Amino acid sequence: MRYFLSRCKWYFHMLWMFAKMSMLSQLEYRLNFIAFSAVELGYMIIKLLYLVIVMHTGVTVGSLTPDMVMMFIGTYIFMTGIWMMFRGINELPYKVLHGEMDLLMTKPGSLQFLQTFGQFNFGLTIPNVTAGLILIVISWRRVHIPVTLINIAGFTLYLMLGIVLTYGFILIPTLLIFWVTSIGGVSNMIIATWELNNMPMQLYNKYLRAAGTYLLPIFLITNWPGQFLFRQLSLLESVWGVFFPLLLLVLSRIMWKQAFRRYTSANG
Amino acid sequence: MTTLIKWKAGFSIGFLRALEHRFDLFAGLFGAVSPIVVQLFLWTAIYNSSGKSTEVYGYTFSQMIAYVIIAALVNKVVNTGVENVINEDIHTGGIAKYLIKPVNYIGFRFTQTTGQQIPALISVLLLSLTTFAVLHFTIDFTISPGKMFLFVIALLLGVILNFFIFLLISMSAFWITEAGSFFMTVQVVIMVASGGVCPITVLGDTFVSVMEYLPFIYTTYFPIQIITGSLALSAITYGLLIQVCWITVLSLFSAFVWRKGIRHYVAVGG
Repeated sequence: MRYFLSRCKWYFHMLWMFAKMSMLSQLEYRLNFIAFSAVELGYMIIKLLYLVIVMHTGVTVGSLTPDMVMMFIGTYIFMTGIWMMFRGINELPYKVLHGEMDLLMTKPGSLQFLQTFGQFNFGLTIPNVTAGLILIVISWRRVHIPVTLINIAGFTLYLMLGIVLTYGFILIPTLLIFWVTSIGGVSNMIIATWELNNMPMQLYNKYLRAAGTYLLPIFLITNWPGQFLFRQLSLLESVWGVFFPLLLLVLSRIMWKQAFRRYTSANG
Repeated sequence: MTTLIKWKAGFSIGFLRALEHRFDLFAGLFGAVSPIVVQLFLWTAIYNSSGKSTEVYGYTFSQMIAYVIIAALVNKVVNTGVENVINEDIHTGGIAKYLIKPVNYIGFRFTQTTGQQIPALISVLLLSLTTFAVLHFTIDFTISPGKMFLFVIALLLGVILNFFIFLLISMSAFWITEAGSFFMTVQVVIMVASGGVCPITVLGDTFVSVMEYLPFIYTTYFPIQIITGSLALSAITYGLLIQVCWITVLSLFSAFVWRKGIRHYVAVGG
């Protein structure tokens, strides 16, 4: 137990160091940092366009008022920022194809941890996370949700599980690079599926909702925190929202081990 | 005649290059599906609450649905990605090899881009025809063959116009060191301003008035307006003329910027 705790402490310390180093290295080239943020602000216009339409027309999405819809769009923008933060995953295909993981393999600690958490892109993350949190807070106030411990804890729990799900959701398809030479098409498909979260799942018909909840549970990422706050989660959905992210985390670990066996490098 | 042979070669290169990555081409088209799905459900919910016969942002339900689907498809054709190719040519020094060859760089890139977009254009036209057929039987959307023909003409002019817009933007790489992020930002803003996401009427009358004096809406918004049936023949003819005028102005201006940029350009290396 003591060994486990000391390893956990080491990994958290490394995580902090990686985050600090990533931030410092990006701030070294401030113009690039600003440019990355500007790109994300550009994409945010599209995400916010849906909110503008909902607020302007006053449409009710299922049982959700426009103010409630803002909570889901805020969570989606926040999670997009989290995705962008995982630079290590996004750069994995390049490193595998160019045999640039050799040095990393010689370092102490889990290779999956070092690769996927070794680099963060804060330039892309900060605008999304900030805008997402602002929208969540505004929606929370406008819907008059009580600021109680249970609400904060439940919302934070599902937000954290959403981050775990995001990690698995982007890592597993990226690992295909160990088998094929290009995953450009797969990346397009991941982005296309991810974009369905731009609006709450209540917008879609029952078949799409069921598919996005149980078949390819992407709706859990951005819908569960808000649905918990609005007391719209059944017991089964609540449990599924906890169980599936953990299952996906285990699956991503198994797949990483399988995938990395195929890694070869002929670097000099 | 020699120029035509060179341009034909550029066209063939672009066409073959697009077919080289067939999966990426179709995966790219699949990428257009999710914004369509989101908007189909969103607009259906909006029109269900306000009544399907009413106009929202100046569009009836069938017009809006047609707009959303065609906009996502048209976006795939008009966005050529030429800015990234030219940016790479400028920054890696690759442009130098074209300067010593008896070929006009802009002409070569133009024909190559046109050739590259042909498979996407054919796919989009086939998908558009399928969409019209589905919309005709589901929400009673109709389009005449004449308007379809004018749509194809406007779409082709839109691709050319978009090429010159992004050609001008890409030439900023002569003066900017890190232009990749700048291009991405501009691309997204232009996509919204050209009506590539949803009708620009969503953004208000003032925005529409300003955009009418700029070339962006003539790349996407105008061609789609033709098939959604909200433009008279005189307005379509006027719009086509404006497209030709913008292409002429931007091609002349890009030739001027090219001459300025190439004087500023320094190629180092063997």
